Amino acid sequence: VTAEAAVELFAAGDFTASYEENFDAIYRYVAARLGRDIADDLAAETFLVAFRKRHTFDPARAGMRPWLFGIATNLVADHRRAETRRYRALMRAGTEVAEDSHENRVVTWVTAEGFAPRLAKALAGLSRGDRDVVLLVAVSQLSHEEVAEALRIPYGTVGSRLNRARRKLRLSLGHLEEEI
Amino acid sequence: MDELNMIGSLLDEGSPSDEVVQEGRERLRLARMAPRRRRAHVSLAGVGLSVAAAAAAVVLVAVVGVSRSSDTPAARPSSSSGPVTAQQILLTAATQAAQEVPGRYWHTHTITSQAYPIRGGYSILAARMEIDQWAATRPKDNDVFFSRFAGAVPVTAADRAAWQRAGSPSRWTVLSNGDHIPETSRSEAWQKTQNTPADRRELAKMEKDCTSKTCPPPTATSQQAQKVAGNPQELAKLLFPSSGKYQAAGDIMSAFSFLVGQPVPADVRAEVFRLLAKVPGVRSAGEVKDTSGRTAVALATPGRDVDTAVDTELLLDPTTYQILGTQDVVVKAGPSSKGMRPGSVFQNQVVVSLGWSNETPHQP
Repeated sequence: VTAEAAVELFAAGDFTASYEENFDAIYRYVAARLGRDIADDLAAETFLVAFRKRHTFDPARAGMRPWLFGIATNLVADHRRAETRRYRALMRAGTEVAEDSHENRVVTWVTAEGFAPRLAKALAGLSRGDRDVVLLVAVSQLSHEEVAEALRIPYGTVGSRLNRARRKLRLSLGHLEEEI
Repeated sequence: MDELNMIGSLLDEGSPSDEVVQEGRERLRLARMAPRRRRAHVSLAGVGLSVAAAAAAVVLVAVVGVSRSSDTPAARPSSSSGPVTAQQILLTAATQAAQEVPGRYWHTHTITSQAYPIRGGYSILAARMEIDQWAATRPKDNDVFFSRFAGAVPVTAADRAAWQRAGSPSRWTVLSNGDHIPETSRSEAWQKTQNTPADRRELAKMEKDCTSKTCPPPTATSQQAQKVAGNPQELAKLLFPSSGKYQAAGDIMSAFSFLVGQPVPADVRAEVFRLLAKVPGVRSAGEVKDTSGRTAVALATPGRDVDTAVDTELLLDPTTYQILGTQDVVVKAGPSSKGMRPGSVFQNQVVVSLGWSNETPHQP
């Protein structure tokens, strides 16, 4: 399949397949950063933006999945305040999470160890560029190559950003690091 | 487990609900179906009435539906292909609104009217306040308004037929707030008024300084909304002052006034639709015909006007999702609305046209 044919195929019908394949992952990525309420709308918006920009998609340069994550990351960037609010809420997670809520279930073990507030604080303190890399890897398990494609940054930059961010995150865990 | 895994589980919110997946699928499907139509629509917005009317006529021909009027109270359920829940419709409207290309004026042509039952078995729309508004987006431009009382007309096609059988009278006496008042089919002359930038400041100051209990609720302005855009809670606080049993009806009316009356940028318009999508108690009432004969999708919620139980409906164009108007439809008449049948329009606001324009303001 030539690149041109791929674009046409993609424009013509592949969107449905791509939606079914990637919606869950895109949703979870957005929800991880902004919470479910905003993700309910923004995950779908990601695909609409992708559809509108379909003629700028270059299958020779990047895969569909990283391209979608790149668009989602751009949309997330418009909600910086919401993201900060979310991390702030997670800093208080140990005391304020409601019984039996979904949020409660997934954070239980981290909060039990007292890690959640510190991790959330460290996340809030990362630069946007570093945080994008960390969360694409930590939440969505993108490879370094995919992150580079998604964020349109050199492969080497992914590694350096990730290392810098991980150092900060580990530091935030303080003396508990040895027990991990 | 390392810090990356920990972050993964700390932030995990799980998979989307089935509704969210379905709704996204539907929005994508609509986008795929209608990209050309949407672009055409944006360029139509400023062109004005004749093209909009032509477009409406095309819709009328294309859609075979059962109209809901005073004589046929049942609403036709939405066709199986379009979005079905009120929330899906409003989120689609948000997506569409986000595409709008702004211009020098936000130009809206609306007619607000009231239905009155007439002896002879038909109803008329009267007290029809027609306003053609050019709201400036540039701070130094004047807002320009053309307004008049338009003549009374029969409400539906059936009402028109009954009116003709009654000899097509051009004058009526109707009961309004306990008084018998005259109504006529003749329109008054247009009046032109302008708001200078100084007038706007004065008006804002008056609203702000008003302390008595009879102060009108302050009008949310586009500027105020833009300041809190991106913060749904603050935007809701600004736009939705209603509370109590009929809060959803109040929210619909507030959103309508704001979206039609104010020159609001596309992204904020989209945000207001998304806010409306979160208002509980709003349901899709399917496709209806408005009093101009246009097909609309109706989003309905219970409301009340003095002693009349109504459904307050927001009407959207089924193709472009632009606002076509609002109407209160009688659910149960009270003493002041005696003789009005359930399903008939009690009062309404018809949006004749709306859109961004770079034209010089002129009389319709």
